[in-house]
Amino acid sequence: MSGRTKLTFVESKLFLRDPTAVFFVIALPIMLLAIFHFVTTKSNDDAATKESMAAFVPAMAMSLCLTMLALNLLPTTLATYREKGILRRLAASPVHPGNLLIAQLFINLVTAAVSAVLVLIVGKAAFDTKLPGDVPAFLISFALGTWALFSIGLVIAAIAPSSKSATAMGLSLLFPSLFFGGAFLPKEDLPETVSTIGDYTPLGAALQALRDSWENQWPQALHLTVLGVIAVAATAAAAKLFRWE
Amino acid sequence: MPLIEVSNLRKEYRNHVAVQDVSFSVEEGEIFGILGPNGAGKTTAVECIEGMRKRDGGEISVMGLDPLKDLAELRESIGIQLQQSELPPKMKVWEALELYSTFYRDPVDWRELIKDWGLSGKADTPYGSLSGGQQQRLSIALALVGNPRIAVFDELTTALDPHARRETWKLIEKVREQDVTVLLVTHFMEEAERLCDRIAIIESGRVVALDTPSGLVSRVDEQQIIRFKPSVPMDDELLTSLPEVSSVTRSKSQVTVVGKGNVVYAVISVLARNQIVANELRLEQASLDDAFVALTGSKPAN
Repeated sequence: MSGRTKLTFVESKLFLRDPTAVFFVIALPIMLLAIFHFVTTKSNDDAATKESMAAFVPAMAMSLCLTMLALNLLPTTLATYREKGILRRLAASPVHPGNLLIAQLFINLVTAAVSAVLVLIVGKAAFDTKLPGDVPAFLISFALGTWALFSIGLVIAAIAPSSKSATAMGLSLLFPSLFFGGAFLPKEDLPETVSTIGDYTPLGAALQALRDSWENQWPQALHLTVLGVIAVAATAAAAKLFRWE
Repeated sequence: MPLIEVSNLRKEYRNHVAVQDVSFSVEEGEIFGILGPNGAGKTTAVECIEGMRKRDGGEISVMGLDPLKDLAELRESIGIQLQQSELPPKMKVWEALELYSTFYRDPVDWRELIKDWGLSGKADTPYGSLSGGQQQRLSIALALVGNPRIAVFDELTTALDPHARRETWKLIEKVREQDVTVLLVTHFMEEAERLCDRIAIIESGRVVALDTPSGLVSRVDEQQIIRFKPSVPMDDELLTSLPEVSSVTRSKSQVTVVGKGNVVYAVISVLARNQIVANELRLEQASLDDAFVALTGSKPAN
């Protein structure tokens, strides 16, 4: 195995040894599906509302996992690697520490994909949720949303001076994102100002784009543009600001 | 030809000059020490040699390679143990060594390293659960996994207790026995004196002295003090007449002789010629500590 492949392999093992990682991939999305299933079946909502929840819940569970990985797990891990001199140790070997970043990014992306697939399959099989109506629209929304959120995670990893501050920065972006982005309450139930702000947040734009794809609609140009601009700008910023030590 | 050659090395940071002007060369097979007070620029100088930092001036040649131009090639044959660098806490000892061995073109067998460095019982232990001494042994083993010709150890023993420190000294001697040239950054006098063939003392970014440990000590024109109790009454004149002796004082039965140069030999010879036995003989000599203080004008950190 080449050094880089081996690095990715060992990093994956380390990732799986961490119980929080397994929680984000498997437990959290299924818990969300189960809770919402319980709430919806017990409620007296009309059929149309239940129908709309069946499309909202999987999109929400998916984007929530994505956001946790991107804003919490990834930046904290990378900031810890810098803080503890793990990146520097690698820089002293023939393998560039950039490979460790790529390995971590790869692992988190695979995790995001696995949790998304899990949401689709388990939701459909056990909790009566719907599958996306427009598959290409779903794939594009998911990919663009992942890129935008992860590149913000990379900016946090780039500028946070310590692992603790990376966690703090991640969480202080996470909760407003959930609120404005329409993850706590669906967008249509939010006050107009909040929902408008939400359109310009990465989580909000990603969630709305995903929900559109569930409803068999092409996502709004606004949401795709917001995601695209954030993705490009944040990736460039992270690349420019990242320090190895 | 020296294995490492540094001439007029200079490195500036935003607000200050960390390395003013450092020159030295290291021969193959040496343990070469870099000694100096905290903030003297030791680590910065060494990091320029390793290619971990870019120098601002001067020339560096490591095995004929320039760290600025031939970094990839240099990485293959230099083993580096860094100050304050850890591994992921859940990474096991064998995983770390196996992983790092895949980074090099011509690695040594990492299983052998685990045995050689006394980590066999800990091979399955995660880095985070190792003791300080074990982590240190792992970091030395990691520095050697690429089969390097040069190993650089930076403040290897600073965080260790005295026992673990002595154990580490044995390990460094073992590294040299494997034909690896060692560059050792330290601020422990005892460590430098015990291990190094030659030492460069760095102060405020400059080399203030470069010699063998005993050579450095002899530069310090420190007086030697001899104390003893003569077996029979003796005349002070016997000793004060010696050119090496500068003073003789007595308190009760104890004689204290202060002198320079070969004073010990001169005093012992005179006593022997006069059949006087020097009981409870004590000798106080200048140490590397004294040399360090004299050369840098500051106390060593410990």
